[in-house]
This record gives sequence, structure tokens and C-alpha cells, in this order.
Amino acid sequence: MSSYRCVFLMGVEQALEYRVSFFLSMLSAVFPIIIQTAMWNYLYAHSDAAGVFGYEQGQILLYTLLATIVSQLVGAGFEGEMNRDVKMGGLNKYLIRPVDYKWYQFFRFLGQKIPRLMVAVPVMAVIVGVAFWQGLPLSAGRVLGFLGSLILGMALNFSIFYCLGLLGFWLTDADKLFGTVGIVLMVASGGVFPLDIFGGLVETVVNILPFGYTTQFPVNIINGRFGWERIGMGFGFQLGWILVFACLGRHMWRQGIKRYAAVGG
Amino acid sequence: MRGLGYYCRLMGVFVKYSLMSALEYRANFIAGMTVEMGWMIIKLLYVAIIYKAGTSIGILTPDHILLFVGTYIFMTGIFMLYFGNFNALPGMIQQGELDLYIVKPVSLQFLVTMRRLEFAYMLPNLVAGTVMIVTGWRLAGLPADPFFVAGFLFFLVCGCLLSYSLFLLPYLLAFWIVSLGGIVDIANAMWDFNNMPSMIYGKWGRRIGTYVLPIFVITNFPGLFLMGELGLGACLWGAGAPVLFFIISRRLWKMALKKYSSASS
Repeated sequence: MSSYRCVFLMGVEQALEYRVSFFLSMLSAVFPIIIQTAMWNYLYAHSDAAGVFGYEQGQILLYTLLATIVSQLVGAGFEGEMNRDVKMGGLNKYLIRPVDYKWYQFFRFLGQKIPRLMVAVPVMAVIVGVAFWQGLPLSAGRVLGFLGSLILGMALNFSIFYCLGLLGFWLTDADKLFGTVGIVLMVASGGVFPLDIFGGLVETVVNILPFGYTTQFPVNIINGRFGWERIGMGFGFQLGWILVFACLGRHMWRQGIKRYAAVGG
Repeated sequence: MRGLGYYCRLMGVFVKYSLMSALEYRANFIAGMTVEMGWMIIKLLYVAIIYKAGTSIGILTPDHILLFVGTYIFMTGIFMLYFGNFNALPGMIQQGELDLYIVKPVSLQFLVTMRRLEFAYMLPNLVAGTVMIVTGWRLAGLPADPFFVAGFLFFLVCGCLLSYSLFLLPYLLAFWIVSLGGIVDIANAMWDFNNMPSMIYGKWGRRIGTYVLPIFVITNFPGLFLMGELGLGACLWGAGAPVLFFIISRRLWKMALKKYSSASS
């Protein structure tokens, strides 16, 4: 366990290596928020947007503010390194050490999230506090539900991207594929807009697929859009999908390692 | 000092070699296109929301907005054609690679910023942008006589020159500072303000985005000209701003080049 603690601390150090760049990249997330806030404010002021999209103005604004932060918190980014480990033989050093590669990646992923959490949690607390002051129906249960779903969302996103990274065993150059999949999953997770605003088939598909349970689900708990029944069901989906991807990852690792040629390293 | 004809021929050579490179690595080319299509989904989501709301933004109906976002996607395609060269500039400065180019008997700025062209990133944007422009133009019932078509194309060309000059400026900071990551993230995020027509940003946002950091001139002016909403002053600014910012970027480039110390080469 102590080796994983070291990996976790290493993740924290890596995230803080380029501090100015880290803060400026967090700041760049403000721009999409400004664009979307301006758009929603205009649409709600000049049309029956609440009826069309199914969100109250306060709910959609809170969604816009929090989804960007949640999306950054659950975001992965280690799949490219996994691919390089497989291609360049970097995996060798993990195979001969008494560490499990999946847990190594998981604890480093968690460690890298700590600095972001230290910035994001106070920012989110202020945003939710202001929303509460403006009349958001908030309870301790919802806050706990949000935090719990956020943790499960991080675990789910890790599991999804871990499986994606393992594709490196089968593909010769997966870097651009990761780029495409990363963007599509960001949209599918509700990281840009809540996809249930499109209603009908889109909403049904989003409710079944795992991606919305990484971003859209936690945010819709705290903004009061989901009732308790829907929240309970969502937690079930989160746990179920984590289990599915954990089994898939295990299977892919076993099959992939048989193909691994340990070139270089 | 070489003439314009020489640089046109040189550009032709760059196009030829970039196309040969794209055709040699076809899988890479297709993967690049899929990444760009992923980003396009996000831009199209904005249009989908406007159509779903069915409301106008000021004088802009959803059909006008389709034209504006189409222009933005089209201009993104042109920008992405040479954007990779901007991105490579800090690395060239830090590793002293600029030495190889500085001794060539052509404009260093032209050589460094145009030598490699990414058709994979340009193509999907150009196709989708053109389709959206034509569809929006037709649905909105805008005039299509030679005067308006020529005016629209003129402001598109002005937008191309302006986007080149304006977005080169943050990269020139690489001559003075080592890590540009965060600054570049912010500059790139500003490009996305064109996701929506300038009218949603309020009076002051519109003024700043038109006259101080003229990002709205790039994608809003062609559409506004078609609608007959550009006064004489705005027309002059639309034609003058690209020239002004090109002169600024050229001066800054020459000033920055004096700081180049040819380190590490």
C-alpha cells in the first residue's frame, strides 16, 4: 500500500510542476462559460426556453458553471501515456515490479486531481452558495449525493479511459483516436451542454449510456433537476457501469499482455 | 526583397509537399479529420440549441445564425490549415531550430508560419462551413447578386488576414518567455467566442470584440455585410483592421527576432 501512496504523492507533484500553466489552463475554462451564459441568458429572456429545454433558468446557469468544473475534475488524460508504455516498452518496468499497472495509473490519476480539487471545491462551494442564496432548493442530502456521484463519476471515467488506453495493445497509432474519442465523450458526458435538453431519443440514449453519469448526473443532482428516485437509479447505473468497465479492463489486459512484445523500454 | 509572384510559387510548393505528406500517411490524415469533426460537433450543438429554441437573437433569425456559425466553421478550417506552424514556434525557438530557417533567402515569418499545411484539419471545416453558409444564405433569403457575393468574399479574405495576424501575436511571446501553455490556451479559447454571433455579448462585449480585440470582425462581418447591417465606418474598419494588425504582427515579429539567441542549436 505504501508504494501506491508514493504514486499518489508523485501524481500531486506532477500536477503542480507547471503551476502558472496549470492556473492559466484552469482560467481558460472560464471562456466557454461566458459564451454559454450569454447565450442562455438571452434565450431565457426572449423565449419560452424553460418549456423547450426542461430546465429552469437558474438550473441551466448552475449547470453551465458546474459542468465545466466537474468535467475538468473527472477528466482522464493518462491514456496517451498508456499507449506509449505499450508501444515503447515502458510497460516492462511495471511488469517486473510488485505493483499492479491499473492501480498504479489509478493512484497517479487521483494524485493529479488533488490540486484541481483544492481550487475547484472552494469555487464550487461559492457558486452553490450563491445559487442557494438566490433560491436554489438545497439540502445536505443533495450535497452528499453530489459529492458521492462525483467520486463515482471519477472512478467511472477512469475505468472508461483505462479500457481506451489498453487499445494500444491492438492499434499501431492510437493517439489521434484518443483525441477524437475524448472530444466525443466530453460531448456525450454533458460536459458542454446537458444533452437531455434535446429530449426524446437523445435523452433516453444518454440515460442508458455510461458517459452522462460522469458529468451530467452529478450536476443534475446539485441543481435540483433530479428527484430522489432518479438519483437512486443513477447511482445504480454508475456502479453498474464501473463494474462493466472494470471487468472489460481486466479482460482486455489479460488478452493484451499476451500480445505484448516488450520492445524497447 | 522577393516579389509576390515568388511567394505564391513558394506557397504552391508548400501545398504540394503538404498534400504529398498527407497522402503518404493516409490513416493519419483520416484520424486528423475525425478529430476535427469531433470539435465540429460542439460548434453544431450551439446551432441545434438555437433552432430548438426557435428564437431570434436581435435581428438574427436561426437561419442567419446558421450562416454566421457556418462562416465561423469555414474560418476555423482556414485557420487550422497553418495553425500547427504557430504551435511549433515555441519549440523551434527553445531548441534553436530557427537557425535552419533564418539563413534561407526568403521571409522568415512566411517560411516559419506557412511551411506545413494541415489539410486534414481544414477539409471537414471547409466542407461543413460552406454547406452551412449556402443553406443559411438561401433559407434567410439574403441577396445573392454579384455585389453581395463579392462583398462577402472580400470580408472572408479580410478575416483570414486578421485571424493570421491577431492569433500570431501570443505565440511571439515565446521569444521572451519559456512556457506559453496557459497563455496560448486563453488565446485559443478566445477564438471560440465566435461560436455565437456578437449580438449576444451585450453592447460593451461587442465593442471590445470588434474594436479592441477584433475577433468578431473575423466571422461576423461577412454575414452582417450580406444583411446590409454594416455601415460605412464598420466597412472601413473591416477592411482596415486586418492591415493594421498585420503591420503590428510584422513589427512585433521583427522586434522579437532580435531577442532570438539561437540557444541549444
